[in-house]
Amino acid sequence: MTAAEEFIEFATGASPHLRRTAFLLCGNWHTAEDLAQTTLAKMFVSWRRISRRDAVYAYANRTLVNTYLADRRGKRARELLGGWLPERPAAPQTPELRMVMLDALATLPPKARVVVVMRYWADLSVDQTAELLGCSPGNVKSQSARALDKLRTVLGESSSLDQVMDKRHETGGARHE
Amino acid sequence: MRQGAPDMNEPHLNGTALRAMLERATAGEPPIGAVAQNALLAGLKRRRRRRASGIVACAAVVAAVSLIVPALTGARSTTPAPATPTGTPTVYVANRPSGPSGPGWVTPISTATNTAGPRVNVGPSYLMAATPNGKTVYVASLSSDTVIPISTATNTAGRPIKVARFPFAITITPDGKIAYVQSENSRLTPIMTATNTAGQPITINPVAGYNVAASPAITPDGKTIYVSPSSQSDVLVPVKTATDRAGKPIKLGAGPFDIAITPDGKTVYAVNDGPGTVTPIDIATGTAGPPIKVGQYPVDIAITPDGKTAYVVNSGSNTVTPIDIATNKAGPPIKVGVYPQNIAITPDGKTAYVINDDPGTVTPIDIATGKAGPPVKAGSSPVGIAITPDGKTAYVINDDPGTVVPIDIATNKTGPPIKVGGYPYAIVITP
Repeated sequence: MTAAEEFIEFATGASPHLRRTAFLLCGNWHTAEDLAQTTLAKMFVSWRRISRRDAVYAYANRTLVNTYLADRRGKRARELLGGWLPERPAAPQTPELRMVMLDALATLPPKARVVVVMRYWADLSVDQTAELLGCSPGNVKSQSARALDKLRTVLGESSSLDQVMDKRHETGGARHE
Repeated sequence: MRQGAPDMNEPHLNGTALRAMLERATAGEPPIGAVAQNALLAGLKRRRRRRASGIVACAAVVAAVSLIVPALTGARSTTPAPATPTGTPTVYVANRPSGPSGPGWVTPISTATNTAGPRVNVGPSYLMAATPNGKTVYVASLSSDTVIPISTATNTAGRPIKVARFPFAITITPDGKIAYVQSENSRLTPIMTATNTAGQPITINPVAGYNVAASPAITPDGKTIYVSPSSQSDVLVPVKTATDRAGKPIKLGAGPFDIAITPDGKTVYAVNDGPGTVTPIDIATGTAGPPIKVGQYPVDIAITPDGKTAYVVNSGSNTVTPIDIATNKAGPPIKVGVYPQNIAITPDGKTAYVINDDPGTVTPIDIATGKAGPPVKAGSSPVGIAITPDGKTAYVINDDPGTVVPIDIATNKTGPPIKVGGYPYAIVITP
């Protein structure tokens, strides 16, 4: 298998999850696909070195987060190199809940959004999130707490939150007390 | 997959609830595109962009020096007489800091002593090109939409020249009078090198958005510049330098990744990384010939100074394909290292050097026999190569750690690495 084939195999497997993670970070599928693609393209540049590591997926997460944060910082130059497409507003694909959740996430500053998505979507521990962001575990904890407060405030005003909670109870999801 | 249990100290809207909500938020996911394939192509482009400028610029310098030196003595109002002693070319290496972006710098290295001089600070930038007389090195600064001229006499950055938004490639005419800067949306800004002033940007049709294209290539007579609007658009557009008018687009059948013109100015070769082909274009008639099949993911092309052979680097199949220019037939592929990226040919046309990403090596190819010699270890992560005009030394830039490794061409032995810091991404050598 050539290195390119090896990369394609990895990228094909990783891209749906990466795109979903990116979507929760940026809030629209079009940009999410670009973010996932840019992340993988960056990885390909040093693929030989990266593929020798154990934690290729962790590396992908880290690259995705850096790409997203750099984008948020408005460093407009960076993505030109990889064929960045202009951001299009997401076509409203209804599910109300989805929109409510996305709107709530959009109220968070980029780093807090990363903390939420990494901890509760990508299932990283506090320490892993801290390592990924290059900050202290304490910082991650306080960011999480503040982000949850914020989400609670935003989502609390919406009846959809109850629907989620109800839905969750119906499906018997284990509640952590 | 789950590693981190939710914290105990999180009340009400807890991790589990949030997880469920995040899961729900991704509902209505549209079908995914060819992300993996596109990422590979974009990744190749990134590598290519990072690595190519040095070779392009150096090749241009070599061609220009042999052809047009007498034309270069025209009065220049802004640049003082060179303080650099003649006959000692300088290597310029563009570096970026370790972060994803941020200010970069250019490190000059004297080829006489192989020592790095003080950094010249520039913005986040991408490509460089040196004028044929070696007086100025131009650096395209992506973030500020400017081109920064570095005076090689003093190694200081001049006043930034405003160009069209997102400049990413620079090609200088063989007479050194005009530097053409390609920006996004297929705009080409001419810079008069005598005054370092920019002219009106030319828009190349078809316009092709943000996709970085192959660096433009210019004919040896300096009359026509061939511009790729985008690596996604399957045309090449000729622009007459006398009038700055774009001509009729030439159909290629695929997006070009690299362009090269034969020294006799008769043929343009466009490398199509998608289908793994090279399209020859007859300059006199402006028509494309049938594509020549090469290896997988070709990313770079170089033509021997005698104009007999074009060498194409196939990054996917770890080979180099020679193309006989007289017949446009591909010869048997030459095996090189893993992930070959760029190729540079010595000015005497005897040796081609191919940098291989993976083992951090450079493979010399003997052009007379078409055989690859034993690979030369040249750092851990070579990303670019350029050869001095006297053909004595090849300089290889490594991006991790930031070093430049000189290779003595006579012996293929490397010298001690020269530290430049950061992540070098482009190299040019002045005449």
